[in-house]
Parts: sequence; structure tokens; C-alpha cells
Amino acid sequence: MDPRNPQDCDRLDVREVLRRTYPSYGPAWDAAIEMGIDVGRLEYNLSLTPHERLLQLHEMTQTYELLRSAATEHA
Amino acid sequence: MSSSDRPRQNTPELLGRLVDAGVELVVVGGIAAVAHGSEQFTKDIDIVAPFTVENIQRLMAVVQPLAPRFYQTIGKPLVQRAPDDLAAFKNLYLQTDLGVLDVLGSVPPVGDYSNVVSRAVEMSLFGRRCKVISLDDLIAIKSHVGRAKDKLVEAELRAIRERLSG
Repeated sequence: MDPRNPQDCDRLDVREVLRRTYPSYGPAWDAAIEMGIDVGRLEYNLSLTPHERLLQLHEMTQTYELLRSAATEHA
Repeated sequence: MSSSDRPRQNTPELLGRLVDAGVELVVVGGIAAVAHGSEQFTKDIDIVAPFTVENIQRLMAVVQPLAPRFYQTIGKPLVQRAPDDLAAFKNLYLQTDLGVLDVLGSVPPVGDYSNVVSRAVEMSLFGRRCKVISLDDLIAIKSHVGRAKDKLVEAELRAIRERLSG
């Protein structure tokens, strides 16, 4: 098993993968991983502009609203 | 509030109208956290604004055509008060046809608009220049509130701050 490869990880807990994949930037970074935060997602978000981050959120919100409407119609 | 009587959230349109109308505001809360890089999912817009009559007039000129309601009041009554009445409020929790807008007079422990805006950062959001609460102030607020969901966002923001300084 290669612990850096999520495909090789047979558990939902990928903290070990994250520890090995990303350098430690300090205690808060390490603590985030321990809390179960996917720091890979944070790295990705930081590669975007703030506008792109909010567009991503807006797309999620639209999806949520569509699902909410569909659920209401079928209730 | 049931899901069926809640309008769809359109944050870009709502925020854009407020900025275009010259409403003094700083974006705080979940939208600010996402703008700083958080992975949190949030729908509502939280802003800090000065509760002056002039600023509340500008704000209400934007939201009045959007059928604003006090969504945290039983029966969710339409907002029909004059701006000088509303300016005496501490916060306004509004549901509009473009979604929920929470207008806060202050955010403990950081303080009121003048405190928040003094350290706010400018970001380009949805084609407008917007003031967004600083990362340090947002962390202080999340730490102060201390709910489980805030602790998770606080941890994300602390990691982001460390990543950016590393």
C-alpha cells in the first residue's frame, strides 16, 4: 500500500494520506488534518481567486436550491 | 422556516445590488470564510453595516422591492417600518425575494462597523469591489462564537492563515 495514494487507502479516514501528501505548515495546519479537514481542498481553494471561490459556492447553492425544489414538489 | 416558503438564494445578485447602491457594508460570516478559502457550505449573506439613517435608507431602497420580511419573527411580517425606525435596531434579519440577508450592527468580539472596516480587505467578487472582513477578525469571531460548526471553520481559517504565511 502506498499511503500517499488515496486509491490505496481502504479507509474513509485519509488523515495519514494528507499528512504524507502535504508538508506541515505549522500546528494549526496539523490540527486541521487531525480534525478531519481535507487540507487538499483548502489548497485547491487557495489556488482560486476569491471570486472563483464564491462562484464555486454559488454553483453549489444553485444545486442545493434545485434539489430543495424537487424535494418540495415530491413531498 | 420551512423550506417551501423560503425564496431561492441569489447571493451574487443581492450583494451586487447592495454594492451598486452604495450601501456601506463589510461581508462577514460564511461568505467571507469562503472568500478566504474555507470549504464551508453556506447560503445566507451576513454583512456588518453602520446603522445610520442614511445607510439604512440606501439598504432599504434595495430590499424594499424584494418583499423583505423579518424572518426570525413569528409570522415573518413584511418590513414596513421607516428607515429611521430601522436604524435604531441592532440587527436586521431579512428574508427577501433574492434570499436571506442578515445585517449586523456589530460582531463580538471585534465590534461595530468602524472596527471591522478598519481592517477589512478589498476583494473582487461577482464583478464588484467588496470589503470583506479580515482573516484575523473572522478567526476571532469564530473562536468567540464557539459552536461546533464554527470551531470547524475556525480550524480551517487558522490552517489557511498558516499556509499563507508559510
